[in-house]
Amino acid sequence: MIISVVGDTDKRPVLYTILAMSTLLGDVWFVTNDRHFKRLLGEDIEEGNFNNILVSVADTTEDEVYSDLGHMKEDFDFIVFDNLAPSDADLVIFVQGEKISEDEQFLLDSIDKYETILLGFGKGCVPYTTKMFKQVEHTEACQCLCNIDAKLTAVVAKLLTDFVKVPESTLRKAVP
Amino acid sequence: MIISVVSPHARTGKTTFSTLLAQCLGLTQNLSVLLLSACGSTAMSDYVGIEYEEDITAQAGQVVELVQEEVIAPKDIPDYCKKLSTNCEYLDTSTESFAKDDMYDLVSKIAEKSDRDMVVVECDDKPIKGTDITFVVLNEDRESIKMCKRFVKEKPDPNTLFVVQRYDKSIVALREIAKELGIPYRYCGKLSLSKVLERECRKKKLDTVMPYIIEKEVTVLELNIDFKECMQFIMSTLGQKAKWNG
Repeated sequence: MIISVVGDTDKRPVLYTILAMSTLLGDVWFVTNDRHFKRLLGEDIEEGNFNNILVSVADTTEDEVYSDLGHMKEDFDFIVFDNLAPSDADLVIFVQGEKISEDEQFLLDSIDKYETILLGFGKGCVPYTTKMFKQVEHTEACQCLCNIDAKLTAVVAKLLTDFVKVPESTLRKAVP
Repeated sequence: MIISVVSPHARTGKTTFSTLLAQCLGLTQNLSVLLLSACGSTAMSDYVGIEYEEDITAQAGQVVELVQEEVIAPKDIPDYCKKLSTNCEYLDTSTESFAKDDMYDLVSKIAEKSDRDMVVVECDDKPIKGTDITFVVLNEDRESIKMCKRFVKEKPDPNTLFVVQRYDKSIVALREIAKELGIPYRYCGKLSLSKVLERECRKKKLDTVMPYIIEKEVTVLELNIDFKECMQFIMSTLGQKAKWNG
């Protein structure tokens, strides 16, 4: 399953929730162009393992990601792309902050179907909480996936349930 | 088809893995499975709640002799077995009366004569005669990995899967273990650390866990994917697609 997460806002809470859930269900590859995620690897390297998730930090494109990074799609149960939206993605999640920038709008116009998670702003959003960012910090500092935020976990579980054929309630409870 | 579960040292989790693997094959792939132990220990019987009794008339040696003399037809072997779950039967071969090599011979003969689709055998440090697929069970520690290197052949053996038992992803990535073993990642599987398994082994109810794993119960969710991979490995060796819900 290919999951693509796009948006200019800080997507870490959403990404860590997706990673925590998907790592319970199979082999995961996380591809990002954001150097910040090197922190998950504990050292200044471009590719490494974090909680049995293969993390690749690289500037690449949707078309060249596999050849650039030397992995095959079939080798993984889940591929989570950050800031890349390949046409064969099963699920594209747009993480919306306070407003949609021009670049974001341009990208969204090119995507056929996507799901939006409102983070911090808007009606029915997942509100920012101190605990959420404490958990994000814990994930990165201790290199250990955890439940970032109960409401966010519920939102992500709802999006993934049909794809992974695991009941939403099970997914919600399974995240450590 | 004979599946041997081996490990170069004790207490890696061979018994737990063999029992669950046999049950999983029976429940998900609709194959008739006979589960045996060539270790002679009572661990497997203990885990599934069978009281150990040194009764030679119901033990391996007696059964093999009767099978060899054709007093018992292979199809009647299940009469001496305990049914663990749908399609899965366990023949209690725990005994203190047999030397290791004798036990291997006896279990090999039972496996060979059995008319079941699959025979899963828990072995010590080497597979029994006529093994088609070998699962090498190891733990995450360096000592265990080092000891398992002797099962690694120069050219990867497509019929051998290394399974890391009690796998804890926060300690080491499976890719790192495969690299250390010197095998392609696809030949490395896992059985995630599970408090439920440990608890049920202690309660002598290990045979009750597999249905929950198949049903993706939240406390054993990770084991679902672990066994899915094992089933895919076995069935691909048979040239078939593994049946798996989701």
